Amino acid sequence: MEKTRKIRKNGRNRHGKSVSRTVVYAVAFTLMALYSLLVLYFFVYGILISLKQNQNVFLADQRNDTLFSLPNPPNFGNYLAAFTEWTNIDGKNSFLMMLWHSIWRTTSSSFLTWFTTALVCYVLVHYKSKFTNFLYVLGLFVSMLPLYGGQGAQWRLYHNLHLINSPAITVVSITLYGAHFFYMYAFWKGIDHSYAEAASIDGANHYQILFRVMLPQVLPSIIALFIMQFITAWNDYESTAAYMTEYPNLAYGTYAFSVMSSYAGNIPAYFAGVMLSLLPVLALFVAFQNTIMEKVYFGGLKG
Amino acid sequence: MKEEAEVKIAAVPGKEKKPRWTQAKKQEFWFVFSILVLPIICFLVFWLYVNFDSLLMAFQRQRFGLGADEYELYFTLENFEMVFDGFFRDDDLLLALRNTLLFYAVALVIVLPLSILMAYFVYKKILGYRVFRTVTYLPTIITSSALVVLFQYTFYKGGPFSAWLTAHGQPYYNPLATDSAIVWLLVYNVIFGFGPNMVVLGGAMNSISEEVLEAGEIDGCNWFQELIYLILPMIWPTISTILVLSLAGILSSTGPILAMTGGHYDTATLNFLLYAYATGAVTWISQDVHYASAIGLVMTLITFPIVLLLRKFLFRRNEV
Repeated sequence: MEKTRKIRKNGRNRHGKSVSRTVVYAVAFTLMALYSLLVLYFFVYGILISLKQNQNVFLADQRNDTLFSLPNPPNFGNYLAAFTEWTNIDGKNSFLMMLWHSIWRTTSSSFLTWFTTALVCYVLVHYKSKFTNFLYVLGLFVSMLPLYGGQGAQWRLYHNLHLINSPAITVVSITLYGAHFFYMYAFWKGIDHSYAEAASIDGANHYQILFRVMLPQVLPSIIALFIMQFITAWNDYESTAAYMTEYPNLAYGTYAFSVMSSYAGNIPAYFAGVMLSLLPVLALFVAFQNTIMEKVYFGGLKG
Repeated sequence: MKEEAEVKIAAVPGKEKKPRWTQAKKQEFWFVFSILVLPIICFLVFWLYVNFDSLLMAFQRQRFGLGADEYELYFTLENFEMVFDGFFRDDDLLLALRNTLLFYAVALVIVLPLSILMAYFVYKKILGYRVFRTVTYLPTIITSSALVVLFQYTFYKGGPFSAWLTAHGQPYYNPLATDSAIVWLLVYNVIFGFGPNMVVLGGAMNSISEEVLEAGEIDGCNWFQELIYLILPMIWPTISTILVLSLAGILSSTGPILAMTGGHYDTATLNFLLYAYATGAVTWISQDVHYASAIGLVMTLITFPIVLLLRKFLFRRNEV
């Protein structure tokens, strides 16, 4: 008792932590918990609407200001109805079609960007020359350069090359300085070149060294970047609205609904579709959460 | 004698004439070439050409009347006159500039400091830090068009905001369809804007040596002193990078505008207008690629020196 009193006298609690620190951490915890609840509220709200029994119940709840209420009984059938409901959005593409467009467009574009960036960074790090140094400095310059207004010229170029509303537009994903360029560069820099030299002495050619010796070492790190690239591409609706309306993805479907002046369909079923459209990226994030957090969050840009 | 001299010179180590184009060099060249050629071509076409063409387009207009889908380009300063009018007569560009600066100010004054605080407490492994980290990052992995729909329905008739108004005897209105819509867009950006900063700041804090913080603790640093005097100076290069990139991206605050209001209710930003004029994807704005290029060029000329100055100032501080 005497000891505890002494500790408290020194501004310390029984765990040896200062009282002010405990108070600050308690306040921080409360605020962050409230923030987390706020973020989660939006998802809960979406799920509640998606489970409303039908459109009439939805409209009645809307009149009574009770949209944020437990559906009684919940209608899980809306999650099946969503597959046909989404055709009402653009009159042509069903949920499954949009899902398919999301899959092929996201996979191809993110893979091309990720793969070419990985290979370019490998060459810039492990094949030093005046030219590769120049490319790296150019990359720094380009990333810091605030250039605006290129969208008009970009649209005209895509138009002239017949890339608008064409799967061939995927070719623009091949980039010299793709997303996460500096992350990739840093990851390759962390790999010792002596492995490549040893393989070279053993008679391996440059491609074998890259794909059999070097790439496997950096793969866990750059897979996290691929997942982030995939998630970004999956969520992209602005470029679809600008260039690929004939091949709408799920993100575009959600966007098109939000800007419709009126929607003559089953809104709970539409919301079920919105929730379903989030599942792939959520599943990906949950499955690779540790990889993403460890490789990017904890191993990200160092201070 | 002369031959002997030549032999001597040839024998000096390091002076041997190496064949310039050995088999190994050839293989290395073709390997590097095969990796870089396609990305370089794409860079030249889709970045260099596009930006060069954009520069030209800012000084061009189209003359129609030559037949279906045929037009003639001519050089003029009309686009810049339109930009001038947009800033000083019609006010649409001035309003967009105000909104852009508002987004930027909120990102720097509210989102960045709060991100630093949140990243700090997550770094210090506060109770439930894994959950906070995931929840904070969650909006980053969700398409903003879905977040916008969920946000909109909070304010639509029947949602929580409507219920709150009814409970307080107020008539219903949708704040996203009023002149205060920009405020709610800023609120949206604050709520869902912590994820990217948290990633970068978290990485920076995790690279700090624990010995330094332990030394601070022994010297009696409280949490605030630890954050201000130890952690912030050590992660300052990361904060500088965020500040520079934020300024470089000053015009990239389209964010939720396209899906939330479509630029109505005075919510358009400069980047939104650039997107709308360049692509014609916004129904109430006619496509005008030349005008878009001129707006972009003017904004580049304004922001470029500011970015350079900020970089110089911030990175000089890093050196100190």
